[in-house]
Amino acid sequence: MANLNIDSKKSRTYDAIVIGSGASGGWAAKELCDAGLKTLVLERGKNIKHIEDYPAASKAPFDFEFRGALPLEKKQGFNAGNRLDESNIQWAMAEDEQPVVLEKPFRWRRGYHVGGKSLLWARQTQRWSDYDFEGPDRDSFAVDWPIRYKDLAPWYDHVETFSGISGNNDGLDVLPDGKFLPPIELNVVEKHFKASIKKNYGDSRHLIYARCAHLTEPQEIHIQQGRGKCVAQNMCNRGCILGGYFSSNSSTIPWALKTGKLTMRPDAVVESIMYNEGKNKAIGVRIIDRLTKEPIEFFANTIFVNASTINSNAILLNSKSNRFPNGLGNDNGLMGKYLTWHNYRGHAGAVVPGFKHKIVEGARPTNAYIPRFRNVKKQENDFLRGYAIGVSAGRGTNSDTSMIGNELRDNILNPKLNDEWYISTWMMGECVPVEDNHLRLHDSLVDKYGIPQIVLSAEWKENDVKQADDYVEQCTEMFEKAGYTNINARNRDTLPGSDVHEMGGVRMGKDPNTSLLNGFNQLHECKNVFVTDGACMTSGGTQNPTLHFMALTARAVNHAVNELKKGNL
Amino acid sequence: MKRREALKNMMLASGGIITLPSWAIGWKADEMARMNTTFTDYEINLISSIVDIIIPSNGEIGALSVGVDQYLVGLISKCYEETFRGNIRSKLHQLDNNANDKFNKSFSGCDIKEQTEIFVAMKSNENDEDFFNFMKSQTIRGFETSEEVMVNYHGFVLMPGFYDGNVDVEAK
Repeated sequence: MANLNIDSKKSRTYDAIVIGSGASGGWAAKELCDAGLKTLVLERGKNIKHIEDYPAASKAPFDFEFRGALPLEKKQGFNAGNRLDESNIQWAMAEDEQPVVLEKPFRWRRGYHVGGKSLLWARQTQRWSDYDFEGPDRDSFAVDWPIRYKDLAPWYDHVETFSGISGNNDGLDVLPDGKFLPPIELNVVEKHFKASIKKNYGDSRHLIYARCAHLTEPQEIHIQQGRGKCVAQNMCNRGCILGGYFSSNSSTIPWALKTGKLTMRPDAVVESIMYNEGKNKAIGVRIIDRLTKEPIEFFANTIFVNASTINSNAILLNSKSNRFPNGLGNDNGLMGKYLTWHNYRGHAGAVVPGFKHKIVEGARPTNAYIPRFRNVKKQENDFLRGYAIGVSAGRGTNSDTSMIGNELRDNILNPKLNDEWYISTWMMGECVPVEDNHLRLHDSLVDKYGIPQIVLSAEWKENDVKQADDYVEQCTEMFEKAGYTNINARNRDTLPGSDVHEMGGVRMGKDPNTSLLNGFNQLHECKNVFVTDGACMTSGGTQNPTLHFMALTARAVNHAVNELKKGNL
Repeated sequence: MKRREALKNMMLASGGIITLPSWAIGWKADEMARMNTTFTDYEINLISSIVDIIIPSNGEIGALSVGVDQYLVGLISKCYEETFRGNIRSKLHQLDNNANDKFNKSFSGCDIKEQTEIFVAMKSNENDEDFFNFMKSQTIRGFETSEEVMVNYHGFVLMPGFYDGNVDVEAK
């Protein structure tokens, strides 16, 4: 009956659709709803309600039936190779959910549930500087970013203020300061390392507090969100009942729901974006219901693609029409290419003599950080770009458990303080995006939803290996100068993608011939579609990228709203 | 005492031995019944003896007093595949075989010193060392992650709420 069809379509029509409910999707939803747009968020995974759906939150090992081990029936359907336990089973991806063809070894971690990886992330946040934006142009790789720091600065302010970022104002040009909640004081050994670096390297490199998305001192805006102070349980990836760190679940989604403008639609696996050739615009999104496998169409004038880098690429590539036979907006054939990630090949550690009379009490959800110091002002090494370094010092305890009986019991009950402190570092390097690192859709294999399987073809390049070798040298040197011993620094052939910072494929740029998105994250060739998750990244920088995605998203929504008001969208 | 009655009834129903072993005192009957789908009461008794050998009590605390045997029974019954469970059961009965060979007694008939000798000998036997290592490491884990040990001995606090990276050891 005609009326039923019209009513049904009307009930599936919105002002805006957001694909994905992770950090950037949640921000798109919040900004769109705050602007008064009736918004639909499509999330492929199950619903996760803040607090209610965190079964492992705030539980000590003894609060679990088997101290965290999983009963066999809970492990059904999951890859036995994954290290699953009570703390992560809630978000584990079923083994048959999304088979991927790996042409080369790659680790692709997915968060398929409401909130996505914003529930699971490391909560480390840093702003880009113009040294990062200018990278491609100065060093002749990828294409020039169509924006600079000044374009994004007010949006960093905006998302930092709402999300709650703890940090210290360090006054460094290489890592701009932000709107910070109080930092947590570094420990005595980290301060020693900081002083040693200052003494030996002057102003060319710095050890600072690692800025993070934790409420060290909630402000009114956070209390309005229903969130409270972080108490350093250090179980963040189980979900936080206090909302002590930023996640879509605790922050942007409840906020958007309160506007009355948001509809959440979990269990919605997006198959493609629908393009209307007569209107020259995208008109909606086609999903496959995760549970019933039923295809359903939703309609909107403005579409935000925040499905996480690889999925956003895949959705666009799968959105084919006569106008766009190679994927929506993909006239130049570059979509899916120049996939990049962060260089996590390097790890180093050392023993710290002295400080025998010092220990740590309490806990903290973050660490220390050395912003990029290589090739910053000019290209001067035998590799391009550089790397940031995460740093953490600590002093553990030990118990000799080699025996059984009374001695074993007593050793466990009375752990001995380690004689010395230990310092650990890890590398976060900027990979140079290259064309042949890419993803594409398989021409015949499909998944259980009938959606083409993704083929991932990406590998380390020589620059990554050299960069990691430099990290090993530099850490060794910094440790030696500080008087640390038993130095162990390694460049390991870890799996690309282990950083969970995959980016690119739908890159921003000034020229539609060499990029897919303009300076406001709109597809050059289909301006009512915005891509603001990792897929939009023209280059990778060294910064943990989530904050950057959130700022780009807020800025893009603002542009969308302005364009709508002017009648341009 | 209601709990003893409940335990007694449960064991009668399961066809197990009627007398209450000392390790059952203090247990909740429904927990025990829920945890166990693999082991006979005899086998549970053997597990308890092993756990007690690995981490005995000092009068105040030991593996049994914090329920490590209960943890092990439940863990193996519910979290491990059938072949593994079967292997554990056969190794438990091997304790009796070895005790008979060495001391002409059942394992439970041996004194603590004899039981320890039999169990420790398994470590050097290539067929039995996996069992030895599993029982030892899980006993340690069960002990270390018990509430009493974590809270009273290791200073565990769920919500520390602060961080001080410059504390003098002497001040503690």
